[in-house]
Amino acid sequence: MRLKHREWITAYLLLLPALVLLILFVYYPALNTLPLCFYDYNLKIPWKKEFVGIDNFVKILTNDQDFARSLKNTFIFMSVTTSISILAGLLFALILNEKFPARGIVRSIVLLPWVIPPVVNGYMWQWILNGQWGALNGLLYQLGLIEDYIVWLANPTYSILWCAFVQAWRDTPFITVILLAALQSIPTELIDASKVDGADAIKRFRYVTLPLLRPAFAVVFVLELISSFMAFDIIYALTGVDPATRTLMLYNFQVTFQFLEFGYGAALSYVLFAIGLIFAYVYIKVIYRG
Amino acid sequence: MARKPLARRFRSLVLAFSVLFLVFWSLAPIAWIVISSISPPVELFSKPPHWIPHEPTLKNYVDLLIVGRGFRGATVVPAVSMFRRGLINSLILALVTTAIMALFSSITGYVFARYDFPLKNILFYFFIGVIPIPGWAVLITIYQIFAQAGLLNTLHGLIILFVTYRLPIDTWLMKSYFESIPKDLEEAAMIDGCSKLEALFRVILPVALPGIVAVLIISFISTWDAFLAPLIFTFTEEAKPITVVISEFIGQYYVEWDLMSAAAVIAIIPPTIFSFIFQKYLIQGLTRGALKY
Repeated sequence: MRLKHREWITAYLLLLPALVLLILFVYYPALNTLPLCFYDYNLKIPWKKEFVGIDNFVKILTNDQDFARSLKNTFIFMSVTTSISILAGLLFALILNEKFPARGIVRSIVLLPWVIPPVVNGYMWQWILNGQWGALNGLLYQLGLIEDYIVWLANPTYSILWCAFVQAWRDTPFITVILLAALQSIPTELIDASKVDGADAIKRFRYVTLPLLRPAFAVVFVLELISSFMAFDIIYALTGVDPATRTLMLYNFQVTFQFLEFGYGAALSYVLFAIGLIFAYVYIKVIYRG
Repeated sequence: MARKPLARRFRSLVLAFSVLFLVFWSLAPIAWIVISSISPPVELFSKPPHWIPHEPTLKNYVDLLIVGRGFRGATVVPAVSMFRRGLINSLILALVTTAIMALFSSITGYVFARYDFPLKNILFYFFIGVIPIPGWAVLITIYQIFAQAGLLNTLHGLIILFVTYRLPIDTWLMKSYFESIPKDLEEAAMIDGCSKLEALFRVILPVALPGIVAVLIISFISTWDAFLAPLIFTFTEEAKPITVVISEFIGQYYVEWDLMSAAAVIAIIPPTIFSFIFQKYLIQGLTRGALKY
């Protein structure tokens, strides 16, 4: 009995430093920001801190054009990023699951977009998409596909799509790796059995592989939703804070750390927080269903 | 019988093209930034650009690291010292954070994997509940805490933040790794008179080395890549990591893309080396975290 208690105490003592950090720099700050939501408080004019009740939330949800546009941008960004990265990730996982020479090196190459700093990634693509000297323009021009160079990132319709594409390019390796692991965990006997039953490659994929990948798909889908919801670096590097590509994450950054509207920013951050919690809930459900 | 080799040849042709596409997709943008960094301006700023420079040069690297051609008028601090300092800062941040995480996450992961104590599950949720929360709500107050504690614009302030936010994922990774190691090992050690904690350091850690390496690499890369927190919490070259320094090379009106490319290439090198050397561990770590194998 005493031995058991000693184990409890050791466990708590060992976790203590980590718990202190999490409380001090995650949970306490999160709670401490809450009261700010109900104030009109700009860091540039701190003496004018005024209690406004739920006005901030009312404004966000009913009367903030910028919020509405950012919400729409977020939605476009998330849908495009998630679809491209999951499709590409599935394709790449299927390719890497085959046997071919130098597969190890190819796997390392596939990881590259994911390991390089996202912000550098953003600048790299900004250079590629550059309207004056960009490589993409050069290539399309040489192939005769365009008559003149296009300023891709200055066009409000294209720019959000490009941001989503670059984010997808960055996230694809992660999805590839997870789907590949799931593919490799499919017992070969199953595939062999379906071959014996006379199923061709497409049927095997449709009726054997795909259903077995479902749990991994669920994980990848939710993770990608979270990651694209929280994306910041790439958009910031590609276009800066620009109304055409400003997602909720960037809007919150702008309001809080550029305009220094800490009251309104806090309220916004809680709205985002609520959306994040929904994802967290779904994620935990998906992970622990099995 | 005659059709089979044809079908097989067709199949390997498709596979070859797929692999080529895969390599092009992943490598072409990075290759272009490397080429840009060794191209003289005349060849780079032409329409269309020279895909392979006729007269490659290392001038951009020399400028960036030694001579210091002006980027946008970095007023007080010369661009060269900003860049070099940023490089050193990033290395310090990544190495120290990684070293701390190695010890820290081994212990927390081990406790969650092997110890029995009340509230264990709730405490674990307390850890991983951090993962999907967008940072802004937290950053607002952390900014104020940091301002009061004198942690703004310091490397140790950033390290504290990085360690805190690595903790949930790394703990989770290590926990699942320890759970995959049979209990017999430490039980044998404990019969020989070790305590549970001693068993961790004497018997388990050597076996768990691959798991630890995976955590180390992911920690290093994610710290090296970090941008948002340093963007908000650093103001001078004392504490700015390379990612933030690079973001400042982008002027409002004019960007020197040749220099910028060289800077980007340098920032890309450490994570690239890591992913080539430790590809196996990296992949293992990623899948373990996501799929809870």
